[in-house]
Amino acid sequence: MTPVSVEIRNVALSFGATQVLRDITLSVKPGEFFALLGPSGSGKSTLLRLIAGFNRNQSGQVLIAGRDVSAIPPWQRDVGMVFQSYALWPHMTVAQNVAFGLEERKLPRDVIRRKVAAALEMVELTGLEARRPGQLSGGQQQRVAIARTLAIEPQVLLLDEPLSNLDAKLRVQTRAELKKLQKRLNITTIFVTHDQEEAMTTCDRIAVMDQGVIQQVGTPMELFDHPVNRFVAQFVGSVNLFGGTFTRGAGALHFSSPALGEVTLPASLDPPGAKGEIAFRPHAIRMSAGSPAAIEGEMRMTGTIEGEEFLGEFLRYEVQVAGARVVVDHAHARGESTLATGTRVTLSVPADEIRFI
Amino acid sequence: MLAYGWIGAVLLLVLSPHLGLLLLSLSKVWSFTVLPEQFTLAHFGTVFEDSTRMIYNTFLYCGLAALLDVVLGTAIAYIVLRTQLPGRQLLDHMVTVALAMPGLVLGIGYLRTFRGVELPFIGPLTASWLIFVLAYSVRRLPFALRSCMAALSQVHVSLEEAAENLGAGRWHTVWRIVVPLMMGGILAGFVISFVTAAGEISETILLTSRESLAPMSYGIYLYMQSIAGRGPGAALGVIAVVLIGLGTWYSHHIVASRSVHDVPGEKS
Repeated sequence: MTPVSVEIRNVALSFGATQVLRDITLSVKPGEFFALLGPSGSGKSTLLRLIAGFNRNQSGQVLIAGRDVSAIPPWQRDVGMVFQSYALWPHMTVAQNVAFGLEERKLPRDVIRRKVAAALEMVELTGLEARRPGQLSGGQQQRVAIARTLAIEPQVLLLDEPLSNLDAKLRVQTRAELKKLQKRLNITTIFVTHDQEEAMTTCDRIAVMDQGVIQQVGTPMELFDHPVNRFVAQFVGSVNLFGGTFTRGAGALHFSSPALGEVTLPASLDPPGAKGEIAFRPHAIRMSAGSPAAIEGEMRMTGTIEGEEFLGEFLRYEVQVAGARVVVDHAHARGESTLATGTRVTLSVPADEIRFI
Repeated sequence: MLAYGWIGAVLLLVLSPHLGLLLLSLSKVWSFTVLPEQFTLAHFGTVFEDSTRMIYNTFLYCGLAALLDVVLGTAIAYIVLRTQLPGRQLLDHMVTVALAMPGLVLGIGYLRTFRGVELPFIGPLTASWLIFVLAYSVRRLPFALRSCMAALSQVHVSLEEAAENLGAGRWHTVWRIVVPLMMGGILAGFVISFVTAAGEISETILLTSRESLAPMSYGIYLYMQSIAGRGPGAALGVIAVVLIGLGTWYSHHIVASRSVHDVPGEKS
């Protein structure tokens, strides 16, 4: 089947006086694995349900394959949704669950039998046809839900936090399987999640949402490297963010911040205005004890270690710099000792790791 | 030991009327002794000879009334809990009003309201068996409705949305998903309506226009009016208890076997 596009044009939706979606415009390309990422209450699930037909937009358009579906009821949209709770029917067997959509399409019995078998084989559940959902593990239930949705060969696949009910290990495994399956079927897929790692590892592009507004759309790397605002910078990965004023003088760029104090920024940087925020990721900071020689083109700060957390792959230090706490991630190598709390350290950030927001 | 003693005492207290009824139905002479002096099965013979019509009537009226109740109960529960229809809460309250009306008053109300109403093939409504079905179902609808609402609120909305998402329209979703998942509550509602209607007497006395229309409860009442009728009255009572007990057990059995696997709804 040829993959289709999904377009959202100037959509607004409110429940009573609460505006849940504000002027959303979004374009999902055919065959794309697209994520809606945001905290709870950001409107991402509402948007997904809108595409499925369970919510009605008060203004704007929802187009699937170029056709406006705003007035089409859910059962005629040909959009398959996997629910967060899986929503398997407990009174039916696995096979009956998967066959449901095909029966509603009035397909001949032998075609249904064949398609059910194929769908269960695709999710590696052959042999469990006669089981009831209550007799399956969480991971198996999730795969039945996916098989049930894919059996009807929908134009678009919608996934509403499908991994959130799985344990951590299974989640990582399932998201890889999901990605493979999506690429193999080449079906336009929209995936709702609040977990940035999930979105970044599986999806081609991500729309970051907050308070009913799309904050930024981009590939995982674009969002991480070039966040357009404070929210995206903080939501996608960890970040150090400080506001202040910029002044240029004597061949240097000075940054005066209430929290960080006076800091000299690399002269090559070009802040967009006199006032703003600088952002840099914890892993981009180089930390050394004492005060090593300065390197041209780096931002330097001195501070005192206030605490550390060992996270396996890296150590996360909290460093007090003037009135601010700076988070520093330091890759861990076996046998390496940690810097003790109270140690005076120098932090340096390369120019290309500093963003203006 | 103490626990069994306690259970035994409570059971004796609860079941003593049943025991008394059973003994009365089997006694030939029972006046001044603790237990009857002579036993007989003649009362049951009398009842089966005279009152099979009443047993049949009870099943007909109460069965139809309970059926009507669960159909209406399911529909009203769906409207109240699943739609945005204006005034849907009022529907719920209106149904509950029937609880506040004494059966006697409701009976008089029916007789007044439907006086002179003639139905094709049946004749005057107030003199037909339909009036029993109508009266019983209105009086028992609150019980059936509560049961259906409890059952529907246990069914997570996403189970219905999943059906709609896969191509099932509203009716198909209700028929294939909602009703089967509510079945436990629907059956419970049916049994409660049936059982309470079968034991109802105040409306029954008012609405019974001739003996051929009377249900069992009316029969028991009639028998008990005379000393000679006590035995057959008790026998009819025993039959009522056994039949209702069997019905209750059977519906519990169905509910239990349906819900053995799992409970519908969310994982977390």
